Amino acid sequence: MKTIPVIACNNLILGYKDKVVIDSVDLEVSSGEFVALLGPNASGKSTLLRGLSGIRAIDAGELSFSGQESSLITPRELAKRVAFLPQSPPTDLDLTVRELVSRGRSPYLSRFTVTDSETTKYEVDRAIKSVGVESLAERPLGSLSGGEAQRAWIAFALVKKPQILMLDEPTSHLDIMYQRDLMRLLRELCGDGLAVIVVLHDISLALAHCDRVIGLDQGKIMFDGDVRNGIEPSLRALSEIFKMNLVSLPSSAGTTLVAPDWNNPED
Amino acid sequence: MQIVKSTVVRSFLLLVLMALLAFLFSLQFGTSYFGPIEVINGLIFSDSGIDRTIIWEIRFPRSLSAALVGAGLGLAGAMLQVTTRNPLADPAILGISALAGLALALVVVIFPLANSYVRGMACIAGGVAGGGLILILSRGFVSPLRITIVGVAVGAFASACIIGLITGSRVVLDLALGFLAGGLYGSGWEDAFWWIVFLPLMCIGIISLANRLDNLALGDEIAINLGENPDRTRAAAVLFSGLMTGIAVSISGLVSFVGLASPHIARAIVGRGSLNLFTGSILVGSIIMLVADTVARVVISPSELPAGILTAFVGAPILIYLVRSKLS
Repeated sequence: MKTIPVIACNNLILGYKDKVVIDSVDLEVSSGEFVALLGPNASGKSTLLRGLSGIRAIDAGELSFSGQESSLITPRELAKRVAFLPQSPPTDLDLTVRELVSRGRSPYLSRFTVTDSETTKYEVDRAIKSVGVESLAERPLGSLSGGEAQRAWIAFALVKKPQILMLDEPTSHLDIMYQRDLMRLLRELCGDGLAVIVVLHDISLALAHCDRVIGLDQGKIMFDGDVRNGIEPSLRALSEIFKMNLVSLPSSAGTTLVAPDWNNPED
Repeated sequence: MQIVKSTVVRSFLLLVLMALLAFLFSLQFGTSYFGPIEVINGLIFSDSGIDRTIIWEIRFPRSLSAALVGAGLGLAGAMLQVTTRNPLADPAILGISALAGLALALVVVIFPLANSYVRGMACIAGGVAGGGLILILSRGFVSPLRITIVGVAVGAFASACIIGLITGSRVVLDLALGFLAGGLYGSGWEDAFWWIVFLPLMCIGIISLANRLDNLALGDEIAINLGENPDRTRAAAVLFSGLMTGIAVSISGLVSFVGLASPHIARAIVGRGSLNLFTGSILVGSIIMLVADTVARVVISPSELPAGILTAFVGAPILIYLVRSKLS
């Protein structure tokens, strides 16, 4: 029996005024999948992520969440199911980590709620713990390092108990150790049944951690493949999309690493 | 967390106490002075003669009106500052007060016999329309700079129209000076009765908007992902600020700087979060107006100054200080 995907789109079209940015995209993502969206600049990755998350309205096509048509889902209900984080969430807010994470519970709370309920407190603690920032809970957001703030924001996203987490280039301001830790954290979350869709620039990072990569170019999906059964097909397709040769290298864990062939004289 | 909460509660208690004291002083001081006991007698016993007339018929409704003007302007200023993310936003600077005033001047010219409630409704309509106009002209409050420039332009235009109407019409001339300078001269029970409209509106506005505006502070995309509709929330907040401004202008004319200064002072006292800021700004605005009105009555007694002149005297240096501290 085929399980119902947590998110599915059919013939999705997104654009600005006269310009089509995402052109007839079909996509299904299941619970527990870790998906990377890759593509050169202006290929439409971020726009697609915003369309899928409901941040922006779709211009044509079908979009459904767990089999339910998106237009039938209220904004608050959608907010509970889908968590989205932009590339650089603000860090200059006058909030502690705990206060920030509590804000994430908004879709569940009445407008008249002034104090936090026991459920809210429990969920906030759980989210903070799940990303390992317990020791930072009472610190102001502005005092954290880039990697710590990123984790606080992920706790903010998780406290809604979403079915899907969508992140737009979450690693772009992190150094390599934080990048690795973040990808491991996302992998763990997938283990708990969360579907994760992440826009990445770093092909090597995507192929090393994700289950599936989707290559976008000029608003169309050019490649969509599972990388768990070998990365060769992905490598060829992505080399073509990025117009640059990609090479594979052996890694210490016995898996294969991917790197751009920076000095290839033929490119 | 507990410590933080009790500090906030203490700050609010302090503000409430100060507001009550300011209210009491405003009943005591004027052309003639009354002790606290005399004030209480005047409020309670209807047979206390001339004291009763001065306290119950003149000062008490006037103080209620002053507190209402301060509360309305403080709340409008706080909401505009949060909504536009602009620390210099204020109903006067954004031209909303001037549009409310223009609506009033038009009604007085066209229908010279209109009573104070019709005038009040005109001001409210003008304030709400002013909010809507700024919203449309600044294309949805995305750029704080654009909002300020649009607001200043709209305000200047409306002020020019008001002056034009005043100079062209004898009827308006009577109202003009007190109205332009802003003050509570002659405010009585018919102004104080606006509390009946204002209080429930204020509660509804704060409760339905504070939480939404806090979510908007996280950025539009994140707010949408919390189930918010940023454009609609901003529009509601600005129109609501226009409504508050309209009520205040109908009572006091063009009082400046209360809307600007109250939120900054409130923020320093009651700390973070829109709910605290809005409630704090209401209290601070009331205190400022009560003190300004009391001083205005006393300083050149038996004559009096328009309270708006005093708020401008104190407010202008605050504005300059704010601009300087933002630049440095």
